[in-house]
Amino acid sequence: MSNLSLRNIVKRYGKTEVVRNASFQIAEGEFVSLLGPSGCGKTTILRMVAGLLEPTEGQIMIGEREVTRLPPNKRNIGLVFQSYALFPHMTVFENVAFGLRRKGESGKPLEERVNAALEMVRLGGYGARFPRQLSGGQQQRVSMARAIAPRPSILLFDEPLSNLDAKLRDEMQIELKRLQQELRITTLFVTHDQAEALSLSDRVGVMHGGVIQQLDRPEEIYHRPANAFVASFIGKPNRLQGRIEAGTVALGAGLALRPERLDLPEGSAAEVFLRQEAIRVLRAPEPGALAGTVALRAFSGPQVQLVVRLAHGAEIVVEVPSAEDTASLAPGEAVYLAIRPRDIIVLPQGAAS
Amino acid sequence: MSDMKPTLPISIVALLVVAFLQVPVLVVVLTSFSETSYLTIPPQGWTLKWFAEVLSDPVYLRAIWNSVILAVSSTLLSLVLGVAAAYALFRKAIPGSEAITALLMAPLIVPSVVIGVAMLQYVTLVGLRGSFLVLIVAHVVITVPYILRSALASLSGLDVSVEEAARVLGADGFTAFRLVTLPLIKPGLVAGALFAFVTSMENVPVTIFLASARQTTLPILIFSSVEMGVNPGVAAISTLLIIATVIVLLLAERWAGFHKFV
Repeated sequence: MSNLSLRNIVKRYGKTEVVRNASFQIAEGEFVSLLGPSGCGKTTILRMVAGLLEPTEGQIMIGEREVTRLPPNKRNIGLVFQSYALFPHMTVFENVAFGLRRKGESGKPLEERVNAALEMVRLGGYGARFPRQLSGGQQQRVSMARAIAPRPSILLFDEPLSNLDAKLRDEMQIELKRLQQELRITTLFVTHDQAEALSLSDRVGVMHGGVIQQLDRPEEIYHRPANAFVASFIGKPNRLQGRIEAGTVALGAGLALRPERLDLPEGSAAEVFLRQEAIRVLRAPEPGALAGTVALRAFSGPQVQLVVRLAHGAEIVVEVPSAEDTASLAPGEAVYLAIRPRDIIVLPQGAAS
Repeated sequence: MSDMKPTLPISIVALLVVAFLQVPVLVVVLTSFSETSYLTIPPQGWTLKWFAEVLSDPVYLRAIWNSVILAVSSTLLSLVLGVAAAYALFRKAIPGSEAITALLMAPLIVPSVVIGVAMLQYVTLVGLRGSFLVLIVAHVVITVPYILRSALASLSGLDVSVEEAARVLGADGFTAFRLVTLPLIKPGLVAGALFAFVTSMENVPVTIFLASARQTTLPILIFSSVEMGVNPGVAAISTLLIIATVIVLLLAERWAGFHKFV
């Protein structure tokens, strides 16, 4: 096990810069996710770490060893693919044994380590089967066993859960977390699913346009986004325009929000991000609450979504649990929205998004 | 629609067409057993003497031997070259790869006679005329398209990440190809190799320009025998060829699921 560090990594195809000057470190045993929409460069970074792509500029270090130009087979890395990428002509046992055999293992020790790896993903006794005889979830577990069996120094995941259906994905997420905690192996995880990234990782790097916008603990990413892109990408935020006036963000028509922290100069234009799930809906007014009327109501089972038109004309979407009394609010009714000061995210307007 | 059974008239027409196409084969097989020294239908009496005659004739044996050596060596050479070319063309970013593919596939479209004449002029020019090696090279040229085509098709049906997985797990490029990619494209390669073998085995137009008298192949021999008048010996050797083809096809089907690639 060792740490992984990227120094000023750039990847260019012709004139297109897919990754722009990425630098970060993953500590020994740490779990870091790269999160972003497709085409943001996250998979490119992962493939450069794996040795399947060569960076145009920069350095990649695993521990003390520079691996920037080493072929993948010389890096001692485990990689779990989105498509599982199992060897269809080999049994589950031989799939898991593949990496160990390349290291010259054989006989009893090999057998023991393959079986231990299969036990670990709860597939003991499946060794004789072929991948096509397994379900998607089982296949992905085999691919995890195959990746961890040779005891790699770094483990890479390339959207490993996105080919699974929603229910299985939740199960596998727990499985993955358990596995990672047992092994405490340095891990880089690439995904476009924010819930996955936030719940699995020690730190999350949000990527956009080839740039890591923010690399921080999940709580920080969620509560203190560094810029408008991160704020709008994470959660389901409402975006409002305002102006800083007397320690508040004035939205217009007398509406104002008082955030916990306010670093912007008086009089400057600001953008406010309010997460749907952080807004409380009230029938009666309360100090600091925003007044509005219900414009639309949509029932989706556990939740009711309300579109609330504020006094100055902007619309806000809020989520109310169906069990709440306010879930029965109908279009046209008056409503008050209360937001805790710490959930009010204020960023300068016009900043990079 | 697709699982609808064909109507009776259509079935009858289809059967008649198949029968019409297969009649010549049946005729050849039947006449090879005839006791007469000329071709006749129905055969007069039953005998295996034509088979015995053909198989003990040194001219025929020599031709069979030439054909087999030529077909086996050109198929193997085509396999190596075709698979390597397909892998490079499909997996690596090679400038002009489409033009290269078109060039390698060209012998499928260019008339064989033209290839034969061109090869003849070329080898005469470089002074290699009459060499068996030239014959092999010529057959590689005409059989490589079959290998290339099936290898490209097999590779495109393969998830690239499977080979990448092998690389990351510690296999160098060649080991990953040998242990993972090659076994997975094998069925396609068997199909391609079979086409290549048969193409080489039956080729007349290219061979006839390049083969010296001692290098006569079976199809050339049959061709020239027929010019002298068809006798049941020719029918017997043809029957043997038909049987050999059927056996090879059955083996290929069992070994590699051949029907999926035709």
